[in-house]
Amino acid sequence: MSNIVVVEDLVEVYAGGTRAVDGISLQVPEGEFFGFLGPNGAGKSTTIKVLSTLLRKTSGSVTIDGHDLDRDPEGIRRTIGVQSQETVVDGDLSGRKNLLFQGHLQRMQGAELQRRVEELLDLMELKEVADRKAKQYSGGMKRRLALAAALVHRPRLVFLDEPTTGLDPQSRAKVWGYLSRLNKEDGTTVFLTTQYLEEADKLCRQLSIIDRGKIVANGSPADLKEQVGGETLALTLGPTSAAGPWEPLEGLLRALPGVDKVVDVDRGLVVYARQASRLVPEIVTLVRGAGVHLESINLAAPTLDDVFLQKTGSRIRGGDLTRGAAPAPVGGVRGGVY
Amino acid sequence: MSAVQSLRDVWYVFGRAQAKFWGSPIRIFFQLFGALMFLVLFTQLFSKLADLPGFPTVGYLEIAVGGILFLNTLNSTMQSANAIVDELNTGYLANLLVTPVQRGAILLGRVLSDGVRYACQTSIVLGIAWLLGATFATGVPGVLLIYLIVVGFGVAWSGLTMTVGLATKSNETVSVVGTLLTFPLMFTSTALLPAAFLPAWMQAVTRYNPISYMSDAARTLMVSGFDGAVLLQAFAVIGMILALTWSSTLWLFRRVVG
Ligand SMILES: Nc1ncnc2c1ncn2[C@@H]1O[C@H](COP(=O)(O)OP(=O)(O)OP(=O)(O)O)[C@@H](O)[C@H]1O
Ligand SMILES: [Mg+2]
Repeated sequence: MSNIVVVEDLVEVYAGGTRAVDGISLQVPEGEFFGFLGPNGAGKSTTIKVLSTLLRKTSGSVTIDGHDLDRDPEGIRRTIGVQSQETVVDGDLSGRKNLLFQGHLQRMQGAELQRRVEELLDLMELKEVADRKAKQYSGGMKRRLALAAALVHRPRLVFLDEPTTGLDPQSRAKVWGYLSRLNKEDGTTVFLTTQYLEEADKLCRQLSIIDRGKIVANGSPADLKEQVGGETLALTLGPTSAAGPWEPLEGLLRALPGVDKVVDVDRGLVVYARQASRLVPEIVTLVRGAGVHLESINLAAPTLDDVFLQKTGSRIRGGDLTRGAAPAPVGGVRGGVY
Repeated sequence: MSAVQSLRDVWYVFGRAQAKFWGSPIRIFFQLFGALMFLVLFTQLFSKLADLPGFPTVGYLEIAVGGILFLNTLNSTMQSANAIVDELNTGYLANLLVTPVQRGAILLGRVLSDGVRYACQTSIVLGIAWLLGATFATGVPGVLLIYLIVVGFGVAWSGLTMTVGLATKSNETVSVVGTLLTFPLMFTSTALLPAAFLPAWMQAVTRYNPISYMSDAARTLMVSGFDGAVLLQAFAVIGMILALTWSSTLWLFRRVVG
């Protein structure tokens, strides 16, 4: 399978001096469902803007479907569909007219366009409101309309910048189903960013995690979870007798056989280990010995959340990727409730 | 890129702008109302003037029409800039730019639609004036020339408001600059009063004011007849403004679409 997206050493420095993308390389094979994850401000949208010909890159090379970004941006535009992170619809026009106009700009006409527009209105469940001005739509409806607009011309490659943000769980699940079919049945390559790790886990076959403009991990969701280590043990801890941190305990835990990493989180510690369940008795002893109150222990297979925490130092709270007080791999500054 | 495709792009961008314009009856109502208000206010305010010795033989209504046409157009060019600034700031323009649509068509389609808007306003003003009893000395060909002058001037002047809009990306700035220019331009021109009724220093100023050339041209077409020299001057002024303002607009637009 050939790569439809090839990015080498891409750098984007904004006018103010922000190095939003700091030398990333990516390859996305045709037909892939690719997820681009990262905390707020990591550089995801900036990357999409460069790849979709909107923003002039500082350096590096980009080839999309064989079209070089510098020499043939026109060719790229004919290949792609884009849904931007900001919901953009023309509020003065009806949903149907929005899609028709988008189709015209994408060189579609007549009965073929009509059919496609009706099909998308159906799929996105906008049929009943199709003739109402889009400014009267709810946020989620606008979001779905914008997604439909990105897909109207059946592009071979779509860039979707957080397409499901702001959708209720039901609509989100529907959009997932639709995107999955789009990828499987039509062979459309999907380049998606998302705040929902569950979404990435479900839909994407390949992921790249970007943090502060650099790619920090690549692989399938399963690979990445594997990299984190077999299992995680989340220890919820009570306050120490001395107001001090859990540092001595952290050191002891880290020294246990099979432990990859110990990360300090809000209300306790997370232990990453090959066979974490076997360590439970020893851990309990160590915690007791350190004079720390152990409220609960939770054993879990790693999730993408853990991957995130480990690779970017950011936690996902309430579906939101926020950069918490970075639990540095060594020692640890507690971003704490205490 | 084929010429046919380019024309199609222009047509679709034009069509969308028109759909937005006609889809908002409130706006059209206010334009009607605005034109009526100005015509009635000015003709009432200055009605006694026409009795003064030396005033052209027609009533003030015919005099006022020339000025009000361009007062409306000046205001209207602000809306042209506002529309593009909005599209820039909401990301709508970015959405257009990731499609294969011709960059030039995005601007041209919009300018053509603005031209239609200026023409509609002209119809409103002339229509109301006609209902109020104004006469048209040069008949249909003269009226068509009036349309051409108003639309030409509007397109040329919108290059200025668009330059401000694209440079500052701020609609407030467009409004402040636009409004700040409108009043001095109107009052230091022959738009509302023939030159003979202005103080000497102002008469001198009116010669450098493009609005004078526009309203003089429209006025002679309304009240006296075809005056080649006056018309030629008006179109020359339009050409000059067009060249100046649109070179900066095009330069800025190119930078925006990068
Ligand atoms: N127009 C701009 N001018 C200057 N800096 C910008 C601009 N847009 C984004 N940035 C900066 O570039 C960095 C990357 O921003 P970007 O929008 O690409 O992040 P993101 O990964 O999409 O984040 P989010 O999840 O919040 O959407 C941030 O530090 C941001 O402040
Ligand atoms: Mg973003």
